[in-house]
Amino acid sequence: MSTTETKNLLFVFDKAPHSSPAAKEGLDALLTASAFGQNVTLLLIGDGIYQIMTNQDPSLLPSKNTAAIFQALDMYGIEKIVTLQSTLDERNLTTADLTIECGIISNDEIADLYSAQQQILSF
Amino acid sequence: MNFALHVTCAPYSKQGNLSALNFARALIEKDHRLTRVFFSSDGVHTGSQLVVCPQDEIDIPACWSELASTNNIELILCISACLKRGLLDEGEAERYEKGSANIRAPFIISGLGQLAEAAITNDRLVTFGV
Repeated sequence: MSTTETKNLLFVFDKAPHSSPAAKEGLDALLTASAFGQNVTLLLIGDGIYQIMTNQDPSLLPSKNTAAIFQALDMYGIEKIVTLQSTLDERNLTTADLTIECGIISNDEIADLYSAQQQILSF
Repeated sequence: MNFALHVTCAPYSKQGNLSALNFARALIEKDHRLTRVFFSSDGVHTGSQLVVCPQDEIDIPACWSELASTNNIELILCISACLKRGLLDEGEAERYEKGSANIRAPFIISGLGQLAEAAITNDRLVTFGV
């Protein structure tokens, strides 16, 4: 494939886990883009932040524990994972509630993040 | 400008699928190049050959097929989404020993790499999901 080019790709996850297949499919797309050598960033916004909440146990649904896949992201070289301070505040969450390390940006900084991307993929 | 589309919703379930079709038509009308449409999640239902549409409604899958054939657009269905939803081409039907295949031409089944490649090689990738 003619993919020697490297682009900044932002993946935006804004849905709660286990509510739809979006996160699972978004993760697959994110990992694929990373495997293609692209400069990927993951933004967890709104209810998307619940994707990386600690102590998830969807085994009774039953459903795959996607939080475990998020924990493996750094192994695949995906280190830029960010959320908004307002996303945390609105849900009364702190970084202690999250299962992986996540950068925090302000609502003002999100414009810069979006401007720096060539493509934005929402799931 | 070169465009690719990513459609994640099924026809007749959400407006996004038809909006994507309208957007695709508008791109061509404005002399942009639409290279590829990647269907994932429930979007893969667009590629079913078995859709039967009432005469007074828009046959959305047929419209996609016609638009793609006329304008040389790749219509690609995400393979993992297809398998789970019972959309199989001849090869997959044989591999999983199912009785029949149901993919509409010119849709083809392929992997997520096609979405990544579309994002990399086009000027714009536009997602339709709601």
